[in-house]
Amino acid sequence: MTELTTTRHNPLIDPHLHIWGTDVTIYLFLGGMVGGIMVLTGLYYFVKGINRETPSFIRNSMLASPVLLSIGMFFLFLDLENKWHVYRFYLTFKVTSPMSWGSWILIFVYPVSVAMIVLANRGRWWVNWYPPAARLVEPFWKLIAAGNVLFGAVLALYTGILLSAFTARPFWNNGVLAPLFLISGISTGAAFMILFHDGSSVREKEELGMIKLGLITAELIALVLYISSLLTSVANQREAVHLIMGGPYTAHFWVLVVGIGLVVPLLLQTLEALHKLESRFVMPLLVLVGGFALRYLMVQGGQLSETVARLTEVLR
Amino acid sequence: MFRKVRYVMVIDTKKCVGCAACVFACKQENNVPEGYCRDWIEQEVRGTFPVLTMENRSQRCQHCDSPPCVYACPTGASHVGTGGITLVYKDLCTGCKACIAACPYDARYLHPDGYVDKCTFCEHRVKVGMQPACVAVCPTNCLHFGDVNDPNSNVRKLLDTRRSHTQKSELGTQPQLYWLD
Repeated sequence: MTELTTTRHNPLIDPHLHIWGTDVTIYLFLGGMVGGIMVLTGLYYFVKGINRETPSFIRNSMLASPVLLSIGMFFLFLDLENKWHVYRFYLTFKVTSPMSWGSWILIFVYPVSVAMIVLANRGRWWVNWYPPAARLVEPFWKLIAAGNVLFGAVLALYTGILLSAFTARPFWNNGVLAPLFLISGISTGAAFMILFHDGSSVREKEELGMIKLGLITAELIALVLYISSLLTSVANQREAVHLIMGGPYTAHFWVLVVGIGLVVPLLLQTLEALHKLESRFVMPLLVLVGGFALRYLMVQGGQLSETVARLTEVLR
Repeated sequence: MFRKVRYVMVIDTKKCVGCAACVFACKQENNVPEGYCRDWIEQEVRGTFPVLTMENRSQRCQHCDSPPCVYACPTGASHVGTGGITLVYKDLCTGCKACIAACPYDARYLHPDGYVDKCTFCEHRVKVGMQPACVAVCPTNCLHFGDVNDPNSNVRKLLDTRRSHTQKSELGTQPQLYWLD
């Protein structure tokens, strides 16, 4: 028998780390989703060019993306303990700090995102009111589309890299986490765009649906890779993965993330593709619920994982 | 010849009785707020009565040579000071808590005033030639502090003459708390 006693009792640290809560989860979710919208919109222009009218659901979701990102950043701001020092993020650049990278990436995300809004809405009066902004951005449409794909992907990837860089937390410290968050971000971005579909631009919606099908499949594969790479890794990572394989987050993970967030949408999307059985709101909403649940479980599980691994090692 | 100072702590768990004098000395010296601690005692008991073994460990920041907390800090608040001591500029700290998540030893905490706080090896005392408060107060002399690069220092001699280990060395943080076997 082993008995481990500690006199440490620091708030937010003991009995296990719980420094980040729902506010950080909201940022990671919205950041990934906005990144996904940017990637898909940028790709749309690359494939279709700018000579045709942009479908309204793409325009509207693009319009919402800087707002969503700002909401996410507001929650991140709420998480800071010393809010008056928020400007310190922009007085230095720390190359070893993923959070520093994340702060500076946002500086590039906003302008390319706004430029894309102008491009997508260049026929609207409120863009061409004064000065005629469309004339300014049109010659650079390829650059703007590329910028959206690049910075959108970096934004969605970054949310995973932020967590996977922490070697101290075995549940996070995995190379598959960043691509998993990227795929999930693009998937939630596509779901958000489908929510805005108003019945017109049917072909584009169908194409987006097929992309969605591929993304859900890719996310399932990434999840299998994530779990298997933890299971075949060193002892503390093998212990950490039990959080979702018999541990306290098992039901949440398999029901919310895999079941509701991936498998059911996969079936609904397949039915839509094969039999034209459209699930107007249900499928995208389920994907959004699954995307949020994935990030929530990752944030919470990662913080718990080191304590679980350490205690298992001591008590073995 | 120039010699780089590297402060380390060597802990003899065979001498430690777990009295927690180091913990209270630290609280007093560094004005640690109530309910928080920069150092703490871990007690591990193995076996079944009457066949038992017990180890007391006076834990604190490991002042790593490759400190993940410093690498994770986005503002430069967490930094490495003189002698390799890991410190925090509280005026630069945003309270983002990335350093807390990065520390494998959970040695940092969030001060009620909104910045991250931790063991400083009592840098203010070391600067004037004194020992850290925990070392100075230890009644069993199980804590040893000094410059590991000084061949005449107590810590250098202990590490040269006794077997020791570090904690979680597999993470590559190169911790500078040495535990005598």
